[in-house]
Amino acid sequence: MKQSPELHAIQENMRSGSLAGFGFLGSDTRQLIDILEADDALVTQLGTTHGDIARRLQFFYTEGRKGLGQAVEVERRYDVVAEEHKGGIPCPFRDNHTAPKVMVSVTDQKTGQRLSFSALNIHMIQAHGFYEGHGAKFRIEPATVMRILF
Amino acid sequence: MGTPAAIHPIVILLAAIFTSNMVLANFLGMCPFISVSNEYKTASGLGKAVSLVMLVTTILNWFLYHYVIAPLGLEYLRFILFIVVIAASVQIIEMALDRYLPELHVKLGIFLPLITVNCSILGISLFMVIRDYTALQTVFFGLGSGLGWWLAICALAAIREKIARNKLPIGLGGPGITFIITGIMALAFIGFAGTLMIQ
Amino acid sequence: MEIVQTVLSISLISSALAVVVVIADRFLNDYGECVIDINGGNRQMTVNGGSTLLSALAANRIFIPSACGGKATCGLCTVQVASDVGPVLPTEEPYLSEEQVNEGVRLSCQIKIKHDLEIHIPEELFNIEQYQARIEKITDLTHDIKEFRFALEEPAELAFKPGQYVQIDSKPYGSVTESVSRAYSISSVPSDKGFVDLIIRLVPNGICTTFMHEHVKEGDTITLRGPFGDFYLRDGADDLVFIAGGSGLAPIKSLVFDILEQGLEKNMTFFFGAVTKKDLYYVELFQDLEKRYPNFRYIPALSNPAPEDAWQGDVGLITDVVAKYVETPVNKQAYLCGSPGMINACINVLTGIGLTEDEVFYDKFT
Repeated sequence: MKQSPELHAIQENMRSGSLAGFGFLGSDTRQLIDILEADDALVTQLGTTHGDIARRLQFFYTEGRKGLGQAVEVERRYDVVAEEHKGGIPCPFRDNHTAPKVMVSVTDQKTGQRLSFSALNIHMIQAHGFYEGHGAKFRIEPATVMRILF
Repeated sequence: MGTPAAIHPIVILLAAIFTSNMVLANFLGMCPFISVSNEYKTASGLGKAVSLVMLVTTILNWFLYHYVIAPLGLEYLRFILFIVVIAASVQIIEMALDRYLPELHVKLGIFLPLITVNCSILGISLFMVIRDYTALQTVFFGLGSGLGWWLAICALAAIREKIARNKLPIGLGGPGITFIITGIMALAFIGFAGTLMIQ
Repeated sequence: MEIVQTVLSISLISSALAVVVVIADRFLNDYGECVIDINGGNRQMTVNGGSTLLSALAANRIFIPSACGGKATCGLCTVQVASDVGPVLPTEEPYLSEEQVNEGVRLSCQIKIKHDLEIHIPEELFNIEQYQARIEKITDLTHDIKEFRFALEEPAELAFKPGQYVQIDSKPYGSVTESVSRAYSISSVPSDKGFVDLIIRLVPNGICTTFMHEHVKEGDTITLRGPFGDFYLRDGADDLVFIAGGSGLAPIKSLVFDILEQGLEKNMTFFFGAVTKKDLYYVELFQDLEKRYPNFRYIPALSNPAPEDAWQGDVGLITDVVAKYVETPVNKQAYLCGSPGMINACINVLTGIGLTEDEVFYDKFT
């Protein structure tokens, strides 16, 4: 399905590795609009919303940051580490949002399962329903979020 | 239906917009119609660009046909030659837009070259030949077809924006529901049939 | 015969149309020579119309800040344009406030030069130069931090204030097809003429840091621009508190060494925070400074030392360590450089002790 020129420009920006090292689309050959619609459907099937997922990620982000680089225990169930770097990454959706460079890693103490995400991921999920393309280094699988963080 | 030369240009104009709408009655130019109609402003911009290209190219093609193609007996080449004219016109219009209306040029971006392969533009040039229109009739026909296409895509975009937040059955989102809406709009336009006939 | 006729007619008509398109291109896309007037006649330059304002200025050695190279994604390249350049483009809209639009502020990477222009830019931008620099030495400081020593080739000198930063341009590599610009603080001192040292920490998935860590070697040439930034020493205090974490040590190193070199009468305390010992670097360098200069004190702190570190120094979050040692707010200034989280937390501690906001200076690149 064809997409508007603006979305097309955003898509090309995401692919070319000009904003983040390996791009936001990974090995996904689908159009951006198809990726967005597929993930939209996926999230609805899981019985949740982009907002709920983003809020939960934001919670771990806020708690993790309190550790200033050190691991923090959250809800007596998770170990959260937030690694920060100077600078910011502008959101590829051209909405004038620049996310800080913070990588959050959440590990379930009992199962050992881990989920990593960045501050930019949270914004893109919350504002655009974008989880990155399949094969992208920082793709967030909605199902994985539901399994580990909820 | 009277002889082609006898149909009044205004009748042709109105018919091209309503009863013989390029996209809703003839189902030509569906590609960008389905894909660019999700945002009203972009759709309207594209509609204007398509109208302009339709008007300009039909007139150019009329002159090409009656002064070059027909006299030289090259009717079998009309498809190729019309397309070449359309491609060149779109190029020039794109450059002119960039210079004089940069906002629209940025908004339409890659879609401008894609107008070249919009089959409705080739379609109206061919209709113009089949129905043997005079120059004046061609002007109104090109204008009317463009306005009709613009009207149709604006209407579709408006409907799509209205239902944008509604929940749809999985699988019908995007192209699915768009085709259904287009079909219903076409049904509605059938109501115009019989009022003015040019085909 | 028909074949010849076909081929001939198609070719002739297509060529004729091609000629028409070329003529139209010459006419429509040729904007002639345009004069750009900067800051009311302060500087004037003549450029060929058709290019963007950002690139035309850069070609004339005036470097407007940009991180995305003209893709309308970073919003940094704002310039105040006094002439009429048409309506605000959809690509510019998200990055300009209503006030900015009213003042004529635009994204210079989106403005195409079509006629003479009058623009206004901050005076500081005239001091920014672009350099070709050769990598003299690469030193591993920790598992993810390297120091790069650049020898400036053309031009050969960069005048800067300790604390300021430069922008470097990465080159395409692997699947990365574009060049990007990123900012790094200078860790060397101004008296080290002709050289610039940068401390670069590898950011996961970071384009420029990956480039510098994995795709350059000594002898390579890099393009550098600067100096930028308003993080530098201010007058007005005799007691200075420096706080840094990670690669934030760079500007602090420049500041501390320059102050000692100049013999300024300041008492300095430098807090460096890390999690474990493997994140520390330049420990001996600063311990040595501490021994030689009675007015300099070095306090490294680990928030979670590993048992094998056998750490004897301060333990705890940097905020707690700062609170422990900084007692009075009198006659003090604080200079912070590190991650936004660390900076915010430390600002809270410092203002809690009694420092006012205009006595705390920090370096945030965003």
